[in-house]
Amino acid sequence: MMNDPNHVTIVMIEDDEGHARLIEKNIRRAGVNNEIRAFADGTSALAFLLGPDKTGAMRRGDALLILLDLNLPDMTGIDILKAVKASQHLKATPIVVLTTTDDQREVERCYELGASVYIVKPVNYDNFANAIRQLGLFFSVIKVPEAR
Amino acid sequence: MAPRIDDAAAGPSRPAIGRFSFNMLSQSVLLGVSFALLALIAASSVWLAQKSTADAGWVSHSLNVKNELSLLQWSIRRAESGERGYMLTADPAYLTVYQESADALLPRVETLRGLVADNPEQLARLATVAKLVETKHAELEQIKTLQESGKASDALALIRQPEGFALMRDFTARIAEMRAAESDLLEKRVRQTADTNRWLLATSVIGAFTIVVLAGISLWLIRRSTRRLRQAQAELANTNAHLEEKVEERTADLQEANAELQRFAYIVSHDLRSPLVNIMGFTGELDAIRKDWLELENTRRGGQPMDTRLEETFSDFDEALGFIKSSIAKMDRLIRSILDLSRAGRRDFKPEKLDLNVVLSAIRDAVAHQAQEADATIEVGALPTIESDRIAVDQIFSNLLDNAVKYLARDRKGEISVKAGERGNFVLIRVIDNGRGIDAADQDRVFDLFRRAGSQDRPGDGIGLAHVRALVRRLGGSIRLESEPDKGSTFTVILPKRWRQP
Repeated sequence: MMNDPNHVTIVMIEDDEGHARLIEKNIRRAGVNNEIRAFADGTSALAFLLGPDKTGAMRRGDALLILLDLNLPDMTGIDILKAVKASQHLKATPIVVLTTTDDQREVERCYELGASVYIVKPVNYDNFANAIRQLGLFFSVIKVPEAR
Repeated sequence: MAPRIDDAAAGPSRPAIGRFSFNMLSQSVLLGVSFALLALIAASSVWLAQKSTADAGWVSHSLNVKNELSLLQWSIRRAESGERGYMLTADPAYLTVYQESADALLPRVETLRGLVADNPEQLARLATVAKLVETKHAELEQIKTLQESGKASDALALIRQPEGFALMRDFTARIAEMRAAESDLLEKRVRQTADTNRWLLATSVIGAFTIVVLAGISLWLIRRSTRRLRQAQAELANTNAHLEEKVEERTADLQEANAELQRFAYIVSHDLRSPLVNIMGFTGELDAIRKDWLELENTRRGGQPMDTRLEETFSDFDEALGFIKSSIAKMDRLIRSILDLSRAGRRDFKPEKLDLNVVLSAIRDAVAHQAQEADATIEVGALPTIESDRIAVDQIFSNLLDNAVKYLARDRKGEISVKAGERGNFVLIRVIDNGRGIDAADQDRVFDLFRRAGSQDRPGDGIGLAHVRALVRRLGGSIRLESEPDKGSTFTVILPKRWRQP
């Protein structure tokens, strides 16, 4: 077993505390018990992901899954998406974009830049909970590679 | 900005037009004065020329009179000397000379009378002369008769009488008097002729000079007005160019403002959704907490009926939650509409040839089912082909036909028709219904976002017409509404025939 799902760390980049709490609650409700690292802004998230040398070498050997909100106070999620995909070490890390925007161009852009999944935060609570639970299901079936 | 454009357009050209009309006025006045002057000069010339001819006639008339006077004097002397010759020689040749001259005397007096008929003074003098001539003629005839009948001594005695001599002296004096009077007249008339001729010359010279001066002034005025005309044309061209610039500037400003509004709508609606997700999420959490609590409560009671007060509390809780949820759903719909609207505003149009007959027929078929349910007919007349964006045009007329079917009057059969007209580079498409109509006070409001008119008995959020107006404007057109409550409404969509880069 090369990849124990429990070994995977979920990196949640979400500036809205409420959204972060709801996402966490529903992930836990889906039976996912992985460690969740929450960041409320892009700068601290990038500092964690890329390390002081900004290459991502520091995360070598970690299995990460990134939950990314596109609207952040200091930068857009697109910037983080680009930075992660540009890193030699992190470019294989799956990224789930979670946002309120369902703009078709935005969606296309994220997939073009290498996002794995794009999820619109629905206003209907059941749909939201459902989406997050399916995300839990997604965790259990995908293989997350370790950073090189 | 509009007043600035107006100022720029009218500012420089207004005084130019003022100068122009003044110029035109002075030109026409000058032209009128010139014509009057020339006419006056021409009339004077003609009059003076005629006067000169008349004067010359009078001069020759006076000469004629003088000549006749001399002839009369000469005839009377010749008659006298002819008679004396006959008496001396008894030669009948002298008698012939006498007879010729004596016979000519009275006709000559008559000729003179005719000539001086215009002059009462001369006529009076002539009367005296005529009497003297008659007396002399009678005396000469008497002498001749005496001589012929051989009474030569009687004839001689008659000649010797002093009366004959006095008569001749009197006659000569009268004739001299008449001649002098006529000479005076002649002199006066010659002087008058010279005067007239001088006036004629002066008039001609003044006329020629006036013509030259007027022509010069006219030439100068024409050149000046031509120069000003050119100047004004240049100013006008400049203003026009400026105006186009202004219009472009303003269009750019408007487009920028519009784009800003779109961005604003997008950001606002987007940012509003974020807290809404929380409200929704934690409302869901509250629901979950309630369920957990109810479960705990049921377990705790162990089959015992629930306390009435607690039951009421749960029911109040459910009611509150229900209102929150339906409000969230409504707010979500509204925000989504704003998002859609701003998205439609940002969508790039793809102009293509659109046969509106095809487009409208397709829409009619799409709403045919609703129309049938509402007992309404939709008639699509002959429509033109335009160059526009298919999706936008489709959305515009879908909304309008949808509304027409939706807001029919319940008490009569629905009649909806689509008709076309043309105005310059635009087509006018009218969607006419006989439905419930829109109150005059609401006719502007219906195009505003989230605003609806009339009784709110049909589902809707008040977005359709706002969307339609936004689309029509983006296509470079406009929309008008004429409506009478209880009679029906006519929506007129005015679209450009050819695509214009917005």
